[in-house]
Amino acid sequence: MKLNWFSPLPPARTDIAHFTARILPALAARAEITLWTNQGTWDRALERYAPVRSFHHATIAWPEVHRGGLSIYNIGNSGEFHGSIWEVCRQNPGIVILHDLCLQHLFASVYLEQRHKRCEYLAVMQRYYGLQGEKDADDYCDQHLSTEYMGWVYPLTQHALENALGVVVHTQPAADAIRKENRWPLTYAPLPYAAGVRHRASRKVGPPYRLVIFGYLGRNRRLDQILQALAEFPERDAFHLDIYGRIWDPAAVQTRVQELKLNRHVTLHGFVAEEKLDEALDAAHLALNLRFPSVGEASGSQLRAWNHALPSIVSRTGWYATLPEDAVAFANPDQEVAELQEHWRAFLADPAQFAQMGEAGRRILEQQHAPETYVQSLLDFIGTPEHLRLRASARALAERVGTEASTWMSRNSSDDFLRPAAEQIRALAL
Amino acid sequence: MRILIATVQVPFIRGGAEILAEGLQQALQADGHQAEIVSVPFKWFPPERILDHMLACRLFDLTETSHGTVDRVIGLKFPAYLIPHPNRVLWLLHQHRTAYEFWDHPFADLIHSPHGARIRDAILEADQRLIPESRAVYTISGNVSGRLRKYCGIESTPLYHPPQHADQFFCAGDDDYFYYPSRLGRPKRQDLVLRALIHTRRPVRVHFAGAPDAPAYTDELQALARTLKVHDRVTWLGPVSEEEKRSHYAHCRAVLFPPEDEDYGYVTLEAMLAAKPVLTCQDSGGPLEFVCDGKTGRIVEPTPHALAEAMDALWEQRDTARAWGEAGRERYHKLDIAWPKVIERLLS
Repeated sequence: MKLNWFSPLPPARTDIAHFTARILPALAARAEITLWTNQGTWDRALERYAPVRSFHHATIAWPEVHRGGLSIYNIGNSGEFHGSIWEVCRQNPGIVILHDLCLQHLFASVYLEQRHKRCEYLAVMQRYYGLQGEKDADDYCDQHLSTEYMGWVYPLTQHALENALGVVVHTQPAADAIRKENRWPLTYAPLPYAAGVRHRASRKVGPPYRLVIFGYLGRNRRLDQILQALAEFPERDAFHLDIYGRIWDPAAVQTRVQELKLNRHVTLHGFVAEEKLDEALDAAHLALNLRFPSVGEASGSQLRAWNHALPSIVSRTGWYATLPEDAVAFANPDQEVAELQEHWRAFLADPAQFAQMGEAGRRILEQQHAPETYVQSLLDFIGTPEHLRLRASARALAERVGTEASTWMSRNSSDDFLRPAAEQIRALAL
Repeated sequence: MRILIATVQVPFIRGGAEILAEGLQQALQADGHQAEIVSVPFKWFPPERILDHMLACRLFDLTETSHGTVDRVIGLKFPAYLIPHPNRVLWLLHQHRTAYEFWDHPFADLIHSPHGARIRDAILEADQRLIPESRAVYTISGNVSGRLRKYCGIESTPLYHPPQHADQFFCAGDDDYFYYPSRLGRPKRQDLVLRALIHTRRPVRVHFAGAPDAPAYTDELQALARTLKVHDRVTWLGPVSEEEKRSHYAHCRAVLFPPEDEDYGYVTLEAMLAAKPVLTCQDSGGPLEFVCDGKTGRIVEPTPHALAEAMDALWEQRDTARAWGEAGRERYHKLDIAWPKVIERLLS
């Protein structure tokens, strides 16, 4: 099988780039892959497994794409990393690997920042969410509504899938949400992560215990609540919080740390090399991997924490809420401060119990998230690309017939009038 | 029998397909049948429209008219040959070529569309599923049958038919020019002939006849001739009448016909009827079913040098040209290419 793989590539600072790097060896062993990127640079090591082609969505050579086989589009919620990929996806039908269900931020970025077309953004919002959606979009453009609110209320998931031949999601909640639409062939495949060789734990026994937050730290990572919980925790001297990764507003976080007098307890490391982060995760005792809002996406960060057998506290929401009780500790989004403190007290009382939690997570990683398993699921789902394309053609024809018929047939007309067309569409394409 | 010939028509375009449909209609009528041509307008751009046309054809009901049943439908061209009928017979001119042998080719169009693969798959699937619905599948040439077998796994039988006014071709000498009558277009490779001219050692002259596929293409070819400095050895006759065409055949030294993968190629048969040798190429398709290399013409590599060498040889060897031309005419008659045979098979 030949596949075009559109994805951010390392060193792009997104876990989806790492996701691609993680599965590429297994994928390239089973299919002929062409990697497509709009990045200026990429990790040359990828080329051991697949050629890398550059593209610009406005000038991409379609013959090259067709020669590359079926297109697989990795879509996430960042305009920077996925805007161009979506621009290709909306033209050339392919499989969409949906890394986020909430894609409002992607489309706000595409329409408002990349295309500078406020009217197009409003039209899309009107198409999917009616007049209220359009009005809120207008208010959002005028900065009267927050990105978080827009993402929560108007995820725009379907807009990303308009041209999809099929959809791959990484969580059961995401699968449930997409299945409700009853439109696309769909599969759920747990986010892949190759379990690394077990490192000798470099965790110190005894306080101060290292708490760690890492990844791309947007507003939904609940830093405010975590800092507040730590500041108000009487035994805070027993912990030190290390924060790794890009923060949406580092100055604001630094200011907050100072306001809460947590300078001794919190270190902002910023973005660090992968090796350094791995060392930090080996040394850490407890990961804080909160998300709210979260609409179902799987967390590469969680898998990375499990790779280090690192116990974690996660939000009881979305994909996280589906995780086994023995593998993570939960914090409810509306009670985070109190529940974090409760978990920290439990940790201090019995660190070994949390260590077992990390071990359970590691077992899940090994059993359910192997890249080879993921690749097999993906290829099984694709089956023969021709059948996916034929299904899409049948749907396009049906929509065309429906559109035409609606111009001269009343809503009350019998379906019998359209039955011959339906039968012939079936004869042609299914 | 009451017979409908199902084909497509690109408005304002007339070519070999239209002539074939009319020839078939006349032959059926001459055989005592009622025959009509049903032409479906066809537009293949943007590519999504192709699916619309396929569906439209599937929704036509040609089983009966207000005056009674239709006994047979003879499907000729895509997508009209998809029109259902319990007694449908296909006599395939060709499939939608840019979904098949021209998918990834300089003549391609579908592959340049972002939806190209999806449309191609739909065409392939429809052909594979719906062509076998036919009572019998014939094609106009072994070349077309070969493609149908190669891409769709469907067996068919080639049925050769005579060119229009077959009985009016004649030979009237062998003047000093090669004749290339055909539409001016890239698939016909007039440019290959021009490039060959610069390699000829003899003062070979070529008369091109035919209208261009696109008006600008004539200018392009003429500019190429000037660039190659062969323009004074080339005559551009433009569109010619049937009488003029036959006259040019009658007086030429030999006929050039080096297209790329031609379905059938009336030119070959017309040249044979006019007792003229034919120079064609190894990848020319249909002509290869009729030209015998070194006996009725030459089959050469599709390169300027090879074509130039063959042109020089026939330019120099007038007697050979005459002999090969006569042999071609004999071969044509031995093949017994005639409408009654075609009709007999299509209605059997």
